[in-house]
Amino acid sequence: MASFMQKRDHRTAWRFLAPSLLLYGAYVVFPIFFSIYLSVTQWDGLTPAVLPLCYNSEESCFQNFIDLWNDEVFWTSLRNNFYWLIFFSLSAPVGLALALLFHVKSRFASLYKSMFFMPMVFSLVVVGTIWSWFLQPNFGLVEYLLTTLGLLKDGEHFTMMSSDRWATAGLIVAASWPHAAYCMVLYLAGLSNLQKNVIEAAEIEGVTRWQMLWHIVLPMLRPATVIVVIVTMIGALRSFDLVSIMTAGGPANSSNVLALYMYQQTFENFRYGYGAAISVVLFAISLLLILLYLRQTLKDEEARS
Amino acid sequence: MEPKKRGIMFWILGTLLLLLWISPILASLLTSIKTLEELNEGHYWTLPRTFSVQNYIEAFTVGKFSKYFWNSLVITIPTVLAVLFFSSLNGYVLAKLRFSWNNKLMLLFLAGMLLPFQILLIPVFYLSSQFLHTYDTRFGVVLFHTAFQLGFASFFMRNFVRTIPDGIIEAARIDGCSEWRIYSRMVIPLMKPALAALATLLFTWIWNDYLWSLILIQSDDLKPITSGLQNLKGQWIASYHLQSAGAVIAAVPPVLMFAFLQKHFIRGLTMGAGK
Repeated sequence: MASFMQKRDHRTAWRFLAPSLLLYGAYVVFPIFFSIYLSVTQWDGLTPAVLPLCYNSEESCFQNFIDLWNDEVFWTSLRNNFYWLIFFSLSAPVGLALALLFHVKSRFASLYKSMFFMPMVFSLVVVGTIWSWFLQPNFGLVEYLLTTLGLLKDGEHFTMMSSDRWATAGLIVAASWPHAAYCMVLYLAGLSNLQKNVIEAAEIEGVTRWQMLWHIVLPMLRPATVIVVIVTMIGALRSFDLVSIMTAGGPANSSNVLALYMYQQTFENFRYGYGAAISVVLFAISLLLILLYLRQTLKDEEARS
Repeated sequence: MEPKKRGIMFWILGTLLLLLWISPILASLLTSIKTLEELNEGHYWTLPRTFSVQNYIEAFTVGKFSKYFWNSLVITIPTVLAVLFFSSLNGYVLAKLRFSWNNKLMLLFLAGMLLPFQILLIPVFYLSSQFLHTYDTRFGVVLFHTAFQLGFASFFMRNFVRTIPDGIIEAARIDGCSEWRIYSRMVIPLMKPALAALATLLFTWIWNDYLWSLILIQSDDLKPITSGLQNLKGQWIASYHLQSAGAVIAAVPPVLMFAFLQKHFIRGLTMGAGK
């Protein structure tokens, strides 16, 4: 009987899953392998059949990767992605600070919280448009305020976004704005799940606020922090929209990132093989994070069951 | 300090912080309701002399935002519905059927949601232009979004369905209900809170997408509002009043959704992340 039930369940399961797996296989699973294959070709996007670079030829199959190694823009983009990885993470402490500040129960507080959350539901195109105007070097609000406060002298302009040294910093600040709001949400949820008796016991013991935060609250927020860190790192590697909208990687590629560089090489220069090679590098970096995340999830599952 | 004074200090500090936080939004809102004449005189950051909706009208007509807005709806709503349907079905299978592939498929779905989009870009473009012939259609974008969002959504629904007690499902099986009937008549009604939370998240994500319509749609007439806003920036480069109005229009649907369904949205985010 049991095995009959199991067989029936199996058949139903496959039937229910079939449309999803077909879609998911075609649009998510197959593309990974296809991209990896394309990275050893020089496809132009037009010819139907495409062979590896080393097929019947002297060329190395890894010519795209060799070219990448010698490509200055690739290294600049990789370095910028690294900056993103580090400085984008600062949204986590900002989100935590906001969460700690507004973790009070009152009608006012919840109104304030909603306002803080708002950037989170904006499209990055909206964020980029708003911030481009905010940081605009002649008429923008930041320029106006700095001039009013006397921090910019006559004739000086707030040129952050057109500077090859500071444009990436400006991009990361703009990206952190909605992301810190997201971190705030996760930390607020974490804070409302804290074990009250531990907090009360600590209060009776008379610990200082700092000790409370560092030794009691933060360790209890660890699950939220794990998620925040992984999502932040993935976000840093995915950064595309804001860079494309606010600087288009400029000036002179100084604020480019791998995701945008891949897009430019592929769809603007029609170097599909080269673009695929960049995406494979990006994928390889992400794979590390994905595996870490899967391991963490499996651990949580085991802990629960 | 006495508690009352501290409370007042807290609200003053909090209000200043909030103003600083939303100052980029306030800047765009202010610019969007100013007339071009006033801006040309250089009065960017003074209080507006009149409240003008001219920029919004222009964005809708000259900027073709009415078309873009419609396209965004046509892409977003079917995607949300399709993902809700398939992911709830997957969630039920992965959580409640005795099925040896459960964990493997769950990991597959989970891994997909963290992929860098670039690894999918060329093959998806190729698939829709050469093979499925859905390139440059809104349907093609719906199809891709549905496939991609299934990863997160199935995982999300599975975790929710697991909290439904096995007993009631077993009882229905013993009564001879088919699995389809159990899913559609029993599980779906119980899933309502999870479906609502997931729907708000999906709506925001799909509405806000920029990259995929950039790749999969070429005709200006079919592009969603995010691309439309970017076009506006390209065509009227220094027209900050128009761009600001456009940004506000593009942000309104998710903000309204958030204003009215905040609880579901927040629950979705924390359920999805905190498992």
